[in-house]
Amino acid sequence: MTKLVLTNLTALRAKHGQAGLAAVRVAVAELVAADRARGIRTRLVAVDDGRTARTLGLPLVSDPADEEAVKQAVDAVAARWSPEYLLLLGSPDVVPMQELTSALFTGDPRRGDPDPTVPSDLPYACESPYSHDPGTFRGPTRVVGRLPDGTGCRDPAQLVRLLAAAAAHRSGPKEQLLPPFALTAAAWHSSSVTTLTKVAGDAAALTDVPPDGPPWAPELVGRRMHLLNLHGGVADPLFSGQKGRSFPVALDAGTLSSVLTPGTVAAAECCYGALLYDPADAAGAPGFGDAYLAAGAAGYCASTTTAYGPAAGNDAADLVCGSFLRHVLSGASLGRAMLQARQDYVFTKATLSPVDLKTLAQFVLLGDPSIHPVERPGALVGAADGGVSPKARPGAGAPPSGIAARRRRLESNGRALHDSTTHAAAEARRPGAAEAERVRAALARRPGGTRRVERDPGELRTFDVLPAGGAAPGPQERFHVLAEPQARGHGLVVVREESGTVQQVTRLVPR
Amino acid sequence: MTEETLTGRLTSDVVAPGSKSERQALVLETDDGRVLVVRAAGATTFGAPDADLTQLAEPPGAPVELTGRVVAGTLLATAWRRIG
Repeated sequence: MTKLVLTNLTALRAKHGQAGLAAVRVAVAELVAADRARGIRTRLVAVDDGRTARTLGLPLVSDPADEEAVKQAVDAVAARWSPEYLLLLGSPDVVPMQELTSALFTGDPRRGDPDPTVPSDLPYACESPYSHDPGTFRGPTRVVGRLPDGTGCRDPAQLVRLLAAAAAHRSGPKEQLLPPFALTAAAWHSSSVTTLTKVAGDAAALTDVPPDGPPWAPELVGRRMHLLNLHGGVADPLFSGQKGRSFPVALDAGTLSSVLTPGTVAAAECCYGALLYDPADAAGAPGFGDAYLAAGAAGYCASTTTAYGPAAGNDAADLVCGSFLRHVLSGASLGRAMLQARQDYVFTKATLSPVDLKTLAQFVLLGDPSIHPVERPGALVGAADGGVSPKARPGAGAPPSGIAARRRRLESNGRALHDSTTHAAAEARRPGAAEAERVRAALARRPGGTRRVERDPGELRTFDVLPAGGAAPGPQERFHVLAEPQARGHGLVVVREESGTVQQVTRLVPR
Repeated sequence: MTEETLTGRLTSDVVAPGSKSERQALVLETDDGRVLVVRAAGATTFGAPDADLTQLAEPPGAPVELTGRVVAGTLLATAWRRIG
């Protein structure tokens, strides 16, 4: 089986110097050797390398920020080598995230979603060609993760440490990861109970913030699986809890290095939890993505932008994070867990709303995608279809047998999802007056739906549902999204309508 | 990414309604038509806001000049002053 480590050597050299690049190359070579012992053939691919470009028939990636060129290179590399794992090496200033448009953005953060674009690694996990439209990337097929070297960082030490940690990783029994360290904003307790119960079997480990708060006892924060359902902010090294209008600090990224157990796997539902910002924008404090990995975490799944979820039950961020952790516990590699979480998300939706498209795009995996946190008993045997090395030792982190069959199945599933999943248009249209009134009246008739939305027609935005492959939208199927004034602040309401009748209402309430 | 200097009107308002980030925040309506969330660089999202910067939003809509970097739709301000 093959793992490709994809990077831009020119960008790494520009950040870390020739000596720094040499140190990174040595660390990559050590990972290649460690992977070989696990039965994985690992190859470094530089998108700025002339020979690679000629082999693939592509122009050189001369500008590290050229998202289209890098996406084309990744697609060509994936087509040529069909890697089981794709590791993006470097922060977005080395290998860019793809900036997808967010249909939820209104241009005014007071009226809705504040994010003009969604930085995403999802397009690298999809066979669809370069596009800014998140609806293009509804059928992920590839196993992808990223090891960041620190945005704006001029020292290769972080990346060298992360590569060394990936090389040294050892799998363990599922029980090592349970019970989890689970924090929730008190206001979202009910939703978090649902998520955690799906992951761990019960919610006994859930801690509300407030009343509880840091410093966390070592026996809690030292647990090897973390689930965080908290507030996060742009270029902010703090996650916060909430009760009413109180937002106490729940977790400080700066404390992780002294308390985290190496090999920890974390999922954060928090807004901007995976925004890989330059620490210079936060008084020198790195964000959670960099901090978790630097502190020894094996993998971290989180969102690059504003995330969503309901007050009770599960949706959006809850579904992605819960699914990721469940697949990790079942013995999947980090990258396969991320791919399956994405596929699960698409599969559970009748059609993808603007919130679904943003959710799918915004969650990324930071970590070596080939790492298996949980060892599957009896799985470490030579495999006719996967080729696990007979030298592989229990705990060495070798992939379980049957990987080739699983990849074929996941590729087929992803293609089927692409061809069968209808989705919201990338741009909203203004609804007609009668259409808007019909939706508002329908909302007012529903249980708990007596609140009256503002008459400003700009509050209601309509997204037609588009066909996909052989799948056609329902008759006059569309989504309506509106910011709804409530007793405290606003809610975001997503309405799916067919034939002039409301089919489904999802309320993403203030938390 | 370089710093930029923006002029406009500053208010305090609820932002990101319905999201996990919904909160009271400073908002700048720039003279060139953009609407940005504003925070003092190095300050936290949900902690106590910078008192000097917050004062600029009193009275609401006061004309101001802010300097900083725009990251993900948020102006991380390093310098500010009232104008007009």
